[in-house]
Amino acid sequence: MFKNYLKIAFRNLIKNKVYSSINILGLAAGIACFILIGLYISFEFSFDNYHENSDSIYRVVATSDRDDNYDGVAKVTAPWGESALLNIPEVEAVTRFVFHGTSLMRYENNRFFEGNGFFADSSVLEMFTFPLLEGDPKTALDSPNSIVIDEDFAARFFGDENPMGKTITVSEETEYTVTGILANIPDNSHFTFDFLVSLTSYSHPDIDDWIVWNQFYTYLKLRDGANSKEVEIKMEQILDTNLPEDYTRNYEATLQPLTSIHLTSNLWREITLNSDKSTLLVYGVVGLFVLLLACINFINLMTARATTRLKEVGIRKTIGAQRGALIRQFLGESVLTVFISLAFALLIVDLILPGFVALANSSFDISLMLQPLNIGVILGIAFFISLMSGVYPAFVLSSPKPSAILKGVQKIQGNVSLRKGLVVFQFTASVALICSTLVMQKQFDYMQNKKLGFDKEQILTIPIRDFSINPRYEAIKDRFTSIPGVRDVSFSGNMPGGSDWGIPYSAEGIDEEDEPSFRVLAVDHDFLDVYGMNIAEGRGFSTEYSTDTQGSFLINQEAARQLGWEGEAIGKLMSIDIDPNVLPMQDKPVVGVVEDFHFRSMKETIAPVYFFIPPPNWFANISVKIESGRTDEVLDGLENAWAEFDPVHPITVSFFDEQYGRLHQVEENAGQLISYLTIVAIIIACLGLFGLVAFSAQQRTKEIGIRKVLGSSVQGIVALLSKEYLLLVLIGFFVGLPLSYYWISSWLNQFAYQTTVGIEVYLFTLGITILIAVLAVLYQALKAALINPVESLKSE
Amino acid sequence: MIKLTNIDKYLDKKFQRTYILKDINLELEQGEFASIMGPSGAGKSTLLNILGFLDDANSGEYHFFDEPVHNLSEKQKSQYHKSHIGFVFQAYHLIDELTVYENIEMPLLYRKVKGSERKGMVAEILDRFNIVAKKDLFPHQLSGGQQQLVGVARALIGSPKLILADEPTGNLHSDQATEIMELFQKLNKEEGVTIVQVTHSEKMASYGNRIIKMKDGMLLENFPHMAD
Repeated sequence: MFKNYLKIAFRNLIKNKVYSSINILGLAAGIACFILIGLYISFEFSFDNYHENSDSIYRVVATSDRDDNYDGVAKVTAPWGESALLNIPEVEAVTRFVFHGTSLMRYENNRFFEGNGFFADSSVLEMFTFPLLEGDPKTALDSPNSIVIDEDFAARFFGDENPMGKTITVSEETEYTVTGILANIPDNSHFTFDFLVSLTSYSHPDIDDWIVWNQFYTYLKLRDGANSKEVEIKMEQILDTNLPEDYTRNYEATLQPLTSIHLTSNLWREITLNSDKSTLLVYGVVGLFVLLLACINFINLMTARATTRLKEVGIRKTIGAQRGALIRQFLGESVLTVFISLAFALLIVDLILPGFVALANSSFDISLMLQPLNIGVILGIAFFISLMSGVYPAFVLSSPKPSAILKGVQKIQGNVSLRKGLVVFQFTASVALICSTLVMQKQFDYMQNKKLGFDKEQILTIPIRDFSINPRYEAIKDRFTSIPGVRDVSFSGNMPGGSDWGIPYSAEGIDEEDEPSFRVLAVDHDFLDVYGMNIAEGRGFSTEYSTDTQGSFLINQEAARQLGWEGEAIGKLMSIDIDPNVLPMQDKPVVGVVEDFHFRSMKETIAPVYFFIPPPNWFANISVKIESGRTDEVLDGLENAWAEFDPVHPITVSFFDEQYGRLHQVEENAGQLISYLTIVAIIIACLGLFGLVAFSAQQRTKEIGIRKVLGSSVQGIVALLSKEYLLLVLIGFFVGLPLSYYWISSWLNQFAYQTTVGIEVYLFTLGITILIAVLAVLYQALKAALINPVESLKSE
Repeated sequence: MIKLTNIDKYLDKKFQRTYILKDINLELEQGEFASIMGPSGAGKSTLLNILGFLDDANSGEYHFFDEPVHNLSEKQKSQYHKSHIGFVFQAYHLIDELTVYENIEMPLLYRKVKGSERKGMVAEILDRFNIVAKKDLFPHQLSGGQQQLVGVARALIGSPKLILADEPTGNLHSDQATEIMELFQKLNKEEGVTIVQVTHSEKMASYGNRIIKMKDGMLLENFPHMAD
């Protein structure tokens, strides 16, 4: 019997090639989108949960809710961790990480710039699950200048040699001994690294200071049953005891569960950019939508097709088929069709996964699908769709009296309105998606073109590798400026869009609690020229004033506004709260106000910024403004000039606008992904419409034939067939409109600077929707209308 | 074998009740070959459908082998379809997606006959109807007469006690029609199968041994005064 069902099912699929392919491919596309998004979301939620101790590890951070722009910082000073371990009984272990910074590393003749690593406490290898392939996790990072490296690092430097015990030379000064080989760090980790160096190798004059040197990502492992809230309170007490009495603390110690960092933490100076749940929610909703659209199509077409099977049902009944047998047959057929679609879907997933992963800024692979839970979900959904699409034919078709069916009296009418409702829903969803895509695209264009407040074009940046060249920075500037095509050269500690240092400051007449969080730019005299920033009041830094070096401040307009200095900032005094021997910037005047500019992405409001000229050893980057069209020439010149000053390290040059553009990469990729999904959704909706019109044309072949014989024109027939479906599309549009408006407004709200959504977006959406719907309907309608009536009437 | 008592079948429309069958009283003995005749709209097919449990009467009683059909459940009815009744239709009603062999085999599948036994039964009937060569063809590849042969073969494969045929020769030309009727006659005489057919043709009716005339939903034998 089963074989008989299978035969009928297959022959039906093959007999109706068009419907079958629409059905199967449409559903496959929907399932594929859903699987991809599902995998992505499940990957995002899996972050850091591979650590055996993931439930008991917390990161301690300094949070603040003082202003909109600043939630706190992910790093703290070194004593936090030390004293937590000593004084809080619940704390079982502590690991602190400090960025290693990029260095030229060498083993024999293999030289690479290596920047992806940390100094870390030796407890790291036992607290976290970073398994060592070789070496002893207890002791590998005990002694100074020990390094553990991952497999890729080992292969890069040592090839087939065993790296254990070998020596890596760093910047031709220090030597690290390899004491362990790490398995590569999994991708679902909120930070990854290629190497770890013992923290005992790290030194800094302020390392024991409770305030100044906050460079330590600090992780605590709590004992079983410990309450993290209580630990927080104890940490607060420790801070109160140890911070100087006259210090005004404007942050609180907070413990973040390790596994929640990736999805929820968005502090200053995170190790890497974390994801956020709202983006995942958007993907999830869109993914479900697309799947739903595909399912609706599938159900619609399956049930529409099922009415052509009435005769078979009648015959089977007269032969003695019971209802149960018929229900099983139709359910079985939909299961078969769904699983064929699933097979196609898996093929599609396999093909487009790499592209999807790149767009989603993620790094999972197909093997994620093999997890039992994911397999379960996919199979569950497949069975659910089978059930939904099989139930109607199974139960409705099996119910009527066979005599009625065989006489041809039976017409399935009841489900027509259901089918129409589903079409309306599909177009509602499509309209919402089209609208969202348009607005997202508009927002990205807006961000790209909005006045940044500075000129990001034609700037090359070069990181300084050997800081011993810093004292000669003026000579380097002169040499670089002499290269044809170079306009201006500036040395700076940091750059817009990049990292900044939270250097504590104070301002004349402002209480410490009221001080807004400032971003800092440590620059030289030419920085404003290179970046094309304009002076609004006063003057910029100038070599004419010898006092400018470590002796005066620039602030931006936003800073003046937040400090309440609008129009009167020039001459106000500010201080950087650092040991005057390190930086003598106490009670120095503001000499100029710079026009506002976007320090970071458009998502953030313009932040207050102060500028100062530090001692040369603070400089870390060189920015070179060049004339357009002379890039190649300048690059050659820079390479030669660079070698004159630093013959050891090869020059590395980046284009500033590309770096800065990366700040919006996540949103842009998200936008692109959503637009692809929209295209898939529209195609699915159109396929559905196409199939339904084809079906109704086929059902009405005889009517069309008679109408033509009686004198109806082709246009008349086309109008007859198209009218009802286009009406449904229009209804879908008007239902979708308010939905998309609501959705878009909330999406836009995450941006501090938003594009405007005008009527043109909706008109455009209406245009697109009607156009594609007309195309989908027209083809079938025309085809039906052009059939010679002799043909259509003969078949009866 | 069949006993219909006061069977009514009607449609209710607003204030009017239209009778399709009215007060039918009919007994059929096993081994009869009856032909129901009458003008279009007389209720012949409806009567046949009720005889075959494909339709229910609105009132009256129907006993099939002394079993009250009007009280049977769907499940019991399909049991009878499997074992006691075979249908032959004017439009053949073969399943388009199945081959001749598979169409004939289908009733056996619902009766859960074992594979080897099934093969034997289908082979035997193919042979008996001289359509072995056609067994792998699909219905649309056959002529009307051949399709009806397959339809009869399908009806017979379950060795039914009763064959109900609704204008079995209506779509066939006379040679084919004669072939089918001779087959029915043979089945009736040699194997004792009870046959009830609906037909318009006196010639086809003459193959049987009883003629039941109908007019306006009534049996003329119940209402002799209506005969004209």
